[in-house]
Order: sequence, then structure tokens, then C-alpha cells
Amino acid sequence: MIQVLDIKGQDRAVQAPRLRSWGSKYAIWVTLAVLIVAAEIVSKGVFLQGQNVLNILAQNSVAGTLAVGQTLVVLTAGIDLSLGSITALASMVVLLMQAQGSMVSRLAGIGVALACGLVNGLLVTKGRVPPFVATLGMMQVALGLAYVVSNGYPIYEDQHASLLFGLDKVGPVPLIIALWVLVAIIAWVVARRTSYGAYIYATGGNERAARVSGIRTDRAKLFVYVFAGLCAGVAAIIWINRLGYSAPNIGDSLTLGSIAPVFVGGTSPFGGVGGVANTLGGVLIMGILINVMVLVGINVNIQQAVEGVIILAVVYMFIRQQRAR
Amino acid sequence: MTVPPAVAPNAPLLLKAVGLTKRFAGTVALEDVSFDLRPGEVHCLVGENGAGKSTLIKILTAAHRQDSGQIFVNGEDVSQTSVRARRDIGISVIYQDLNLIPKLTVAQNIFLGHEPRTNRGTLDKKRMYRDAQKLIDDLGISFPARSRVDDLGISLQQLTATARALSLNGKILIMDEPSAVLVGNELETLFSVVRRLKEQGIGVIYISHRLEEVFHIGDRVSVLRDGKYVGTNDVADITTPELVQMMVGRDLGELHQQGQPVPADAPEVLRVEGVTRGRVLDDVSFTLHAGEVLGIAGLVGAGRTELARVIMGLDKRASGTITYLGKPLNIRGPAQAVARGLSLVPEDRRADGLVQVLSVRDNAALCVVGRSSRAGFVRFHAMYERVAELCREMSVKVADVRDPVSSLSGGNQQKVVLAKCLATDCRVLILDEPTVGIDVGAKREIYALIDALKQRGIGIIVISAELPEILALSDRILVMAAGRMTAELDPKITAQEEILRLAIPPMLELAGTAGDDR
Amino acid sequence: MTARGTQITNKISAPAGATRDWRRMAVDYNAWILIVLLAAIGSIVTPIFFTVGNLTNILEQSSIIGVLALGQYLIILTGGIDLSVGSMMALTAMVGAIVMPTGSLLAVLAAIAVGGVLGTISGLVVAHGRLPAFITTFGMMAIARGLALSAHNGGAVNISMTSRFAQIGKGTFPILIWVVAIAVVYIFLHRMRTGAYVYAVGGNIEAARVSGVSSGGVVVLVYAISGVCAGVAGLILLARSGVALPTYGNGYELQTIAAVIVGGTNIMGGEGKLSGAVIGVIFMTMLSNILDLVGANPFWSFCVIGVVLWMAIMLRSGLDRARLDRG
Repeated sequence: MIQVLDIKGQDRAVQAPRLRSWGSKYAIWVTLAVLIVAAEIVSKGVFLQGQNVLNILAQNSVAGTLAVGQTLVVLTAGIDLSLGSITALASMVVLLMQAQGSMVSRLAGIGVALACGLVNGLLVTKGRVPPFVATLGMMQVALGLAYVVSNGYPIYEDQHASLLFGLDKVGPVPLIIALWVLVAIIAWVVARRTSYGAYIYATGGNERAARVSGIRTDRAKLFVYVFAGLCAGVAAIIWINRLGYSAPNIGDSLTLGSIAPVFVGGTSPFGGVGGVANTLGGVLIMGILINVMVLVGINVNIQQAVEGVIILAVVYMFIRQQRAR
Repeated sequence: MTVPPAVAPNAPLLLKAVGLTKRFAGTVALEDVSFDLRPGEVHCLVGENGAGKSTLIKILTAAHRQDSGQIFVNGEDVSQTSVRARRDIGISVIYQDLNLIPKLTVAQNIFLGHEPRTNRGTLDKKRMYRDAQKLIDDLGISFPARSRVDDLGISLQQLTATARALSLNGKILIMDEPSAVLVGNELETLFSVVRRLKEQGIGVIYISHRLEEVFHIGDRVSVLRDGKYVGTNDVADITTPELVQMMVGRDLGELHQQGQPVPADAPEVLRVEGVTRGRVLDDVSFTLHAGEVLGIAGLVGAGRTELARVIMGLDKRASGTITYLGKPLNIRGPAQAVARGLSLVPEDRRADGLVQVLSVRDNAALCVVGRSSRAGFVRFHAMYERVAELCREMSVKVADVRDPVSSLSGGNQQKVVLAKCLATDCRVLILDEPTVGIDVGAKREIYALIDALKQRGIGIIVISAELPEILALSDRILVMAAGRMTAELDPKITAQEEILRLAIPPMLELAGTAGDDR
Repeated sequence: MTARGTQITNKISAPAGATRDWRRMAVDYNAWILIVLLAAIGSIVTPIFFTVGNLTNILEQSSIIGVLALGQYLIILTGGIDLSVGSMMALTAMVGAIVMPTGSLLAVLAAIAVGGVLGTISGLVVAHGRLPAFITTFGMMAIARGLALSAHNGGAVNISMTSRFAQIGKGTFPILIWVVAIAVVYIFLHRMRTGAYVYAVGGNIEAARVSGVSSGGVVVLVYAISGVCAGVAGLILLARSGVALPTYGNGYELQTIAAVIVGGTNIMGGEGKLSGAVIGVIFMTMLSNILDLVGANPFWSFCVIGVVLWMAIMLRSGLDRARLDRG
């Protein structure tokens, strides 16, 4: 791993009484609650209105889906820098094939995204390429392919394809939110209820010990990258459904948006700690923060800078926590 | 073949340490140890693993501060000085891992951190290379100071490290197992360098497991045992068996009661034949029966852990066969080994045994998650019940099995590792140094557990450098040295001395032209 | 007994141990081999390739990434990585353009200062905050990009193409700047103590620390230098194109990393050749150039760069493992 002066060898021994772990486990939900209250006050009651809440959720459904995929990757102590580009590529494929019908085109998009994820996974496991180098390369390759298939131009939906059986909403609730939630639930179930989830946490927590204990760490790692690819495919579908078009360069900011919520939510960049629920909290926190920034009138460009600072601050706190123990 | 002392016995002492004592939480690492060194002398220090040699070195270099006792260098009391100060007055250590920067040149390594500067303050490259070359030549082996360190063989790298110590004004050189990393006739290079150091009046503290070396290069030899100072002799006045006796001559105290003997018709569970791996394992063969405890004794570097790793599939073997439960064991990785019923309690439980961020019960369940699942879904309730039961059986002292395993003491963590292995209903269990760093009470509990496991018909391999432990636990003992199996012994009729004697690796070959300039 | 220093018992002329066999040479000079191969392919595939005009063009295009790659090389030598070079370059270009009306010298200083300061911050976070390098520079990448975008409300800033400053972007001047930068880095690495410390920190950080090398200081220094390189690169780009776009440098970090790895540097740090970092850049530019000349879809070069990065790193780790097994 490329980590200068990292604490790879350092013991993560904890003398934490259970009370302390309670504190850090619920910290994120407390933060979220505080944020919601603050937003409610600042917006003079507008914030918690049904429509606004649904808007926020819908706006964050793409980032949220990607963040779910990213969570599993980070749990294995890896990272995926290519999720944004894979989303862009998948969305291009879907739109290019829209003439074949929404079902076929969406399957094609997901298929392409899965293939990209598979390549990432193979590079990391069989190729022994460090995750961030592997996915950095994929970021470029997928981006290039997205440009190639679209010739650099955005593509629009000829006619709007509904998400499911002619519906885009169920009552007032956009179905894309449901899709995001579905992906999150699947990821959560896998992570917390299946053997693969146990393998993922063990591999991230201590790969060597996991191997000695007979866990197929390579399989766990391969799985998370493929799953992240799947999430990117789904995110592409959500994007198109929401905006009616896509362009090859949409991936630039999506990747950052997939990583920040994972760390903010409490998943450790060193692996083994955290989870999907944490990330959902992180998505909401980031979403609300951005919403508030917009309401207050902060330049959209500064927002990117702010996200960067938040990532650094949160990871720094992680490390402080580990060292203090 | 002894080297006559370069300096008369009455010369003023270079180093004198008196009454050094050092305790770590619960254990006494050194107790009232004394040691002295004359200029131009090679004073060998021997003792088993854990005898206190490393602690003594650390105290001499001030990496640790002694609890009591004094250290004098050239008559001056330096007992409370810092690491830096010790280095400045000439105490230097050359460790096995040499601490060199591979991609830099020899000269750069020698002067790293204290490069000669010109009057203007910039690097004086000419002088650096000139001085480096002189240091090297003075050690009797000439090669270009411009060479890159990773282009050199290990003996020349060692020489570089030695030259570095000299460049830091080294007068007292401690060499920690210098021959452990050498092969073939590199030993001659090492010895000729040591002789050169003697000529320059430098005192060398030479630590080695290969007792023959003591008789080739040493002037005096001191023995440590269980943290205590046993004695010092002139090399000319002592023999190898006497040395071994000094190293192990301990009262065995209350022997742990062995369990019942292995029935004569116990089936064979593991058969290893002719296993070889690079330079670490050489034609190793043995068999293991159900309900038997096979002890593998040997010193660090003998290849015991490597053997365990090969059996578990963590490393590949170059040749040889392994038969498990009558069928050949050709596995591609540890996952298959665990699935088929082999289990390993690794030497380093922090790095290889436990996932510190997970809870006690999650750690105990690590090996059995797969088989506790139906269609991918883990049946947590049954699994956790099972491992909680195992933890209770092992008397793991923990308030709640959901607590992180890192909050447990060393002994309890080891029990969790054991519980993890036993959850697999393994037929072969390998324990690598199972009681290192564990308090006496927990040790006894683990011994009792091993006995209980015997009853269940599990084939057990215990790898240990602690001779009393191996004698107490094993039904049979195999001794390994330098990657080879040197003997099979019956613990009932074997003394510690014999095990150690067989565990001592042979000295490397010296070139035929050895004795010229003595 | 031999008298001290007057008689040498052994003389070893060639280094004992690993011999300089052809395999080793291939690894050390693989960048040169690659580039010769590529040039050969280029000349076969199109007649325009091997013309003075085209070759000069390649060198010109290499100069900006080349300067960036120098900073990246130093950082990778210490075992780190810098994902922020592209965005920092955009930011320094913006800063330079914005300050330009006040005076071109001031603009140059401002751009370099901004790069240096941000680089130092990254270095401090990595060295003392102990954050993994890729997370730190990933965050810095976002920060720099955000700042670049907001510097002029997301818009571009133009400068006069006839000013004295713009001259440095004309003709082959950028190449000259690159060469000077290479010389400076060379002197730093091979003639100064701290340069050797860079290899020490990457090669065996514990040994370096034990020897009294301030590893934290070295780390901060290399990130600061990378920031300065980003400043210089941003200025060259500004002079060449006459405009500062906040979207500059997208994907440049990848190119610099690929160039350094192709050039033979070990991603884990501690070993590499400066010439490799230079050749690697020329290799990448040459590759795009050839694809361009044969009329390939320009977007394919994105993919190619990514694939090259993969292949370079797998090749290197394969070679390293083979070397370990043999030795």
C-alpha cells in the first residue's frame, strides 16, 4: 500500500469500555439529528416539509447509491476511484441503446458496469495492483470509453423511459429513492447477515489473520469491486431517470461524492470498521450540508473544496482516535 | 582452535556492567547481571531464547533503562545517559536486519546522518567517499565504496554496517547473531573482519547460537539463563557440553503432569515426507498420530514456523509430500487447509491470529463462518452460541463476548485464538509458541487444554523454544536446526541439554585458507 | 599480525552477490528500450513521425507534464503519491492570470507560492497528521479544484498574448524550462544530502530515522517541491495558451503517475531513475502523438493511458517479485 508513515504496523489495541464505543457508534446519528434541527431553524421550518425532504433524498440518490458500493470496498481497506467514470460509461451505453427498449438498454448498462468492476477486482486480487492505482487507471479507461462511444457529446433520452411499469413515482415518492434504498438494503444484508459480509469485515480488519483463519480474502475483495460496479450501473439508471440525459464527463465530481459520505459516516479507511448504515448517515449529512450551503448562497465551486476539507478532517479524527487508545 | 587474547587480562576494562536488573510487567528479564569487556577482545554472549540477551543489549544502548545496576565505559559511569550519548562514547549494535538503505551507496549508508561537510556547509562528496573507502579497507576487505548496497552480498552488507558503526566512533561493537544471515563461506569474511576489529583495539560482544563459533572467534564467553548471569569463562578453559550445561542447567520445578500415553494403535493423521522449501526447509519428514502431542524444538531460524506455514498452505513447498488422514494434501491455500480440518495457532497472535477491531465472539467464529451458513446467510444464533460455549470451556475472562478482542489480556487473547481453531473440529492442530508473553496462570490453563484435546483424538503439534515446556507437553520431540530435522527424542528420557545440543545449528564452513594471519 | 591498513587480505573488484546480468540491465533501462521501440513503431506507422517538427512538438507537449512528473517522482520515491498535481496546476494558472495585471513577476511569484503552500500543507498532513498519502492528496485535489473553480466564478481568465510573460510559452522555451527543472532536481537528488535522504525515507524509513534523518521534514519537502512544480507547470500552460481555465489538468495526475512508473520507479518508493521519469513522460506523449497521427479517435488515448498504467505497474511488480525469488 502506498502510505507514507501510515500506522500499518501499529497495534490497534483498544482499552475501550463499552460506553466509549456507544459514544462513537451513535455519534453520527447525533450529528445528523443536530444538523436537521439546525437546518429546520435556519430555514424557518421549510426544511422538514415533505416535498423538501423528498427533494433532498432524490438529489442524493445517485451519490447515495455509489456510496453504498464504495462502502463495501473501503471495508476491505481498499478504495474505488473509478465509480464516477463507470457511471458515466454505463449511462452512455444505456442511452445509446435506448432504441432497444428500456429493459435491454438498462441491462446492457449494468453489464458494462459489472465488467468494469470485475476488471478492477481482478487487478487488485490477481494483478496485486494497489487498489487506488488499479481504480485510478480504470477511472481513465472508463472515461475514455465513455467519450469514445459518445464522441464527446451528451446524449438525451428520445422519450422518457419510466423507471418501473410506467411509473416514476409512487404517490409523492420518486421511485429512484426506492431503488437507492433497495441497493442499500441489499448491501446491508450482505454485509451484516451473510458469510461474504463476515469475510469482508475480516479481510479489512486484518487480512493476514483472515487468511490464516481460512478465509478466502481474494474472493471477498473481488466481490466488493464487482458489487461497486453494479452500484455504478444502477446509479447510471437513476441519473438518466432523474435528468433525462447524460454526458461522458459527469463522473468527475461523482467519485468524490461517493467517497466523502463513507468516511463521514464512520467507515474507517483502514478497513474492518463501519458499514452501510454508517454511510447512509454520511450521505444524509453531506446532502444536508450541501443543501444548506446552497440555501445560504455559498458558491457551488467552494462546495467541492469543502468536501475535500471534510474528508481530511474526518480521516484525521479517525487516526487521532486510534492513536489515543 | 582458539584465538589468543589480543590484550593482556589486566588491561583496563572498556566496558563494565554491574548488577543490571530489569523487570517488565510481570516478568524479570534480567536479574543482577554483570558483564565486562576488554579492549581488543571478542566476548561471546550465549543463552537460549528468552535468556535475556536482547534485553541486555537494549540496556547497554539505553533503548531501555535498567531498574538498577551500573554501566561504566572506560571507567566512567554512564548508567543514566541517553541513547545518543551511548552512541557517542562508542557503543554500537549491528542487528540482524542491518538497517541499511538498499538503493544508496555504501559510502552514503556509512555516513547517513553525519555526512562530512565542506567549509561552506555543502556535502563534501570527495571526503565522504575517501573516508568510507578507508574504513572499508581497514576492515581488511576491499571493495568500492561506490557500490550500491543492494548489489552486495549479505556479508559485505554486514561489513558496511560495521564500517558505519566505526564511523560513529564505535569502540564497543555488539554483534547480534551476525552469522544467522550468512551462507556458505561468507563466515570467513565475518571472522576476518572481527579479527581486524580486535587489532584496532575495539571490543566486540558477539552473540550467536552456533556455539562452535565461540570457539573459533571468541576470547571469553558468558552465559545467561532465564535472565540471570551464570558465569564467564575463557574460551580456552571450557568445552561445548559444559557450555550447554550452563545454558540449560535449571531446576525443572514442578513438572506439568502429562496426560495419558498415546495408544499404540492410534491412527496416523499427518505424514510429512521430504518437504523442502528454498533454504528454509531441507528434507523434513515426520508423522503425527491421533491423540498425540508432537513437540518440535529448535532455535529461532530453525524453520519450525516455516514448516507450519507449509503444512497450512500459507507457503508453497518446493518438493516433498504431505499426507493428511490418508489422503494427499495438495492445497493451494490456507482456506482449503482449514476446511479439511487443519488449524494453526500462529506465533504472532496480533498480526496473524486475531482481528483486533472485531469482537471476541466474531474472532472466535472467524474459521467457521462459512460452515455456519445456509445459502450464504449466517446462522448467527447457533454460531455465536457455539463459540461462546467454547470460550467458556477455555475460561476466557471477558465481561461480554461482544467486547472488542483487543481489550483482553495476552493470555485470554490466546485462548480466543484456540477457541477459534477448535470451533472447526480440526483433526490436526498446530500451536506455534503458544505461551509466549502469557502469564503463568494462563500458561497452566493452556497446558491443561492441550491435554484435554489429546483425549479428543486430535493430533497436536507444539512448536516451542521453551525446553521445559516441550519436555512437559510432548509425547515425542523432534528437533530442528537450520531447516533440518536433527533428531527424534523420547521426552521421558531426554534432558534439556540434549535437546539444546541437537538444536544448535552447525557452524558454516570456513574456507581452507583460514588460519594465515593469526 | 598484519599492520593496520598496510595489507589487505581480500580484494573484491566487482560487487559480490548480484551480478549485472542482462536481465538487470533490461529492468534498469526499460524506459529507454520502451521508447526506442515506440519510436520505431511510430516511424513505421507514419512517415510524419520521425520529422524534426513532430519530434519537437512531442517535446513541447511533454514539458508541462514533464515538470509535474518531476514532483511526482520525488513523492513516489518516498513511498507516497500525489493525486492533486492536476488541480493544483489549474489553481496556480488561475492565480497567475488573476495577478497578472498587477505585474508579471508578481504573478509568477504568487503562482509558485500558492503551489508551494498547498504542497507544504499536504506534506504536513501526510508526515505529521499521519494520513495515508492518497487520501490526503485526494482531498487536496478536491480543495484545489474547488478553489480554482471559484477563483473567477468558474470562468476563465485571459492574459495578453503579447506580454513579456507570454513569451515563455512560445516556441521551445517551455522545453528549456523543463530541462532546467530536471537539472535542479538532479542536483538536489544526487549532490545534496537531503536528496539522499529522499531515497532513505522511501527505502527503509526506520533505518533512516534511526540514523537521525528527519523523515517528516523530508516528506514535507518533497510535497512542497511538487507544489512548486505545479506552480511552474501552471505558468507554462498559461503562457502557452493565453488563458487560465479552472478545468485544466484533469487527468494529469494519472499521466504523471503512469509516466513515473513506466520510467522504472518503484511505486513503493526507495528506487527509481530520474531519467526514467523524464523518458516516461516523453513515452506517454509520444504514444498520444502516434495515436493522433494515425487518425485514431482522440478519446482512445484516455483509455490507452489507463491501460499503460496498469501494464507498467504489473510489469514492475512482476519483475520485482522475480528478482526477490532469485536473490
